[in-house]
Formats: sequence, C-alpha cells, structure tokens
Amino acid sequence: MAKELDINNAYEIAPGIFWVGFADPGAGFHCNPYILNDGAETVFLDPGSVPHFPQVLGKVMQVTELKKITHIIAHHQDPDLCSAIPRYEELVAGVGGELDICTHTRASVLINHYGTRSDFYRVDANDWKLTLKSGRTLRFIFTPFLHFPGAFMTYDEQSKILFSSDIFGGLSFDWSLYANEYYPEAMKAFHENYMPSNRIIRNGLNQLDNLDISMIAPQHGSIIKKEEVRRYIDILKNLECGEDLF
Amino acid sequence: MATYKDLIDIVIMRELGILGKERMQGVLETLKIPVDGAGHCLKNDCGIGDLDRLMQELAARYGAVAVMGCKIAVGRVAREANLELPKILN
Repeated sequence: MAKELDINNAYEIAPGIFWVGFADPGAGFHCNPYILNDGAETVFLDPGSVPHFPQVLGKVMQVTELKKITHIIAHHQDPDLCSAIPRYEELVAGVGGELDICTHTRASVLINHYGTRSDFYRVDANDWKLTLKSGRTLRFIFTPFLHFPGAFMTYDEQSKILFSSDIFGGLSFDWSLYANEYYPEAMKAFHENYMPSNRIIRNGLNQLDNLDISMIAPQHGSIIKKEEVRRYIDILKNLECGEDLF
Repeated sequence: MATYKDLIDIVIMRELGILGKERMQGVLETLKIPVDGAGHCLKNDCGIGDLDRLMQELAARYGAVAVMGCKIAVGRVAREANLELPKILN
C-alpha cells in the first residue's frame, strides 16, 4: 500500500532517503533539500535558504539526529540551497558534531562568503566520489555551466537516485512532490531562463545515457519517477535555451 | 507563420505547467478567453492587445515568475514571425 504523501512532514522517497523541503503555497520557485541516512552517517543535500530554515530544520529532526550529519553536499553556491549552511553548522557543532561541505572547488571559494566554518571536501579533488563509512558510494557527475561553471550532480550507487541539482528543476506555483502531466512545461520554463545553451545541456546529460536511474530528485520543482526518466532527459536534450535564442 | 493566437497558445500551455490547471482556468475565465479541452485558444482574431491583457493579468496575480516562465518561448516565436510584442514581454 502506498504511503500517504504528507508534505508537512519529511517524506521518504526511497529507503533512508527523505525529502525535507518547505512547500510554500504562495511561491513559484520551490527548493528541495534531501536527507540521506546511511547508518551512523547522514548526508544533507542542498540544505536550503535562511527563510526556509525553520521548516526544513523541523523535518530534518524528524528523520535524523543533528550529530549524525557528517556531510553537506552543495551542488553549487546559490543562496537558495546554501545560505542556511552556517546555521546548520552551528547546531551540529553545538551537539558535538562535525561535518564537511562537499562541493566543487569553484563553488567553495564562494560558499566561504556565507561565513561557513567547516572543511571543504572538494569533489573535483577527490576522484568525483565520496565513500561513506559503510562503503556506500556517492558519485559526482560534473555538469559544467549547468548553470554554474562548477555545477555537478550526485548519483547514489545504492538507491540509484540521481540528485540533479538545478537540472530537471521547474518553475511551479502548482508544485507537487512528484512530476505531474504538465511538469515538462514547468521544466522548460526554468531551463530557458537559467541554462546557457542546448550544447551545454547535451554535454552534461550525455553522461546519463548508460546510467541506471531509479529517480531524478532535482533541487527545484518535482521528482521524476523511473518510468519517466528517459522522456525527461530527451525533452531537455532537445530544448533550445540561452545562447540558442539570440 | 505564427499569429497572436499561437503566442497565446504558447502562454496557456506554459502556464498550465507553472500555475496549474485551476489557476490558469481562473485567469482565462476572468479575461473571457475561450479555450478547448486541450487549452488551445478558440478566438481566431487575437491581437497584440489580447496577449498584453493576458500577460498583465498573469503579472498582477502571480508576479515575475509567471511572466518570465513564458517570456523566452513567446519571444522566440514572435521574432521568427516578425510579430511585435507588448512591453511586458520585451
């Protein structure tokens, strides 16, 4: 029997992996932070913004202990996914925890300006992967200029979920956790506004051709289920955006 | 060659994704723009004024996100068809 989807609480999208975002009913631009629990370690992906901090924190604490957060993955440096990092650092330090911020070197020099104090785990200097204590591997897929020069996605080899950062994101007042029939239009709207060109999109997405993806979990918009993954990849590969339109 | 009706169709389709069906239907009903079940505009003699009113209503109700979400797609087709755009889409 399917779980009832209650977006007022953390929602488990796969075993041990939770959506912990704030579904702001008045917003057209939603952010999706995720928690990945792996035994003694918790990975927090794209923690979110300062205005969303109270709601996101409440959901995080439903599914993990702050002391367990050992890694924050910041797929790039934008405030909608990073500005709350110092607040989480403070809370984690307050309970005796310690975490690393996993990001690209190019983003790390900017994330510093939020006043972070944790060490950086630079994905580009660590063979594009992070191996957790359990042996579980998170692979980082470099997607330069989508939309930041140091942008990347995270692929969890265990769940086969692709945490795609801004790619596959959407603009939507009609937000739902899982993509509905009109989501392609919401996704096109976002990419036309934020991605630099079709050539650059293809360069990034060609890396997904042979990847077994169970779900795409973007940082904005809605989650794309396995049966729709290839269709959405094709939509983006054929989308003109950025410099294509000049 | 595209017409203003085609540009309005692009806006409607895009906003079904951004605003959702109920909100978009509300906008169309307010402006008395007739559409079929697939969201295609049934008024054949649409002009720049109709497009302007639609965009102004979207902006008034839902702000910048609703406008920027269709601005690029509409602009591309308008340019190809040499159609003037209302100021809100420039």
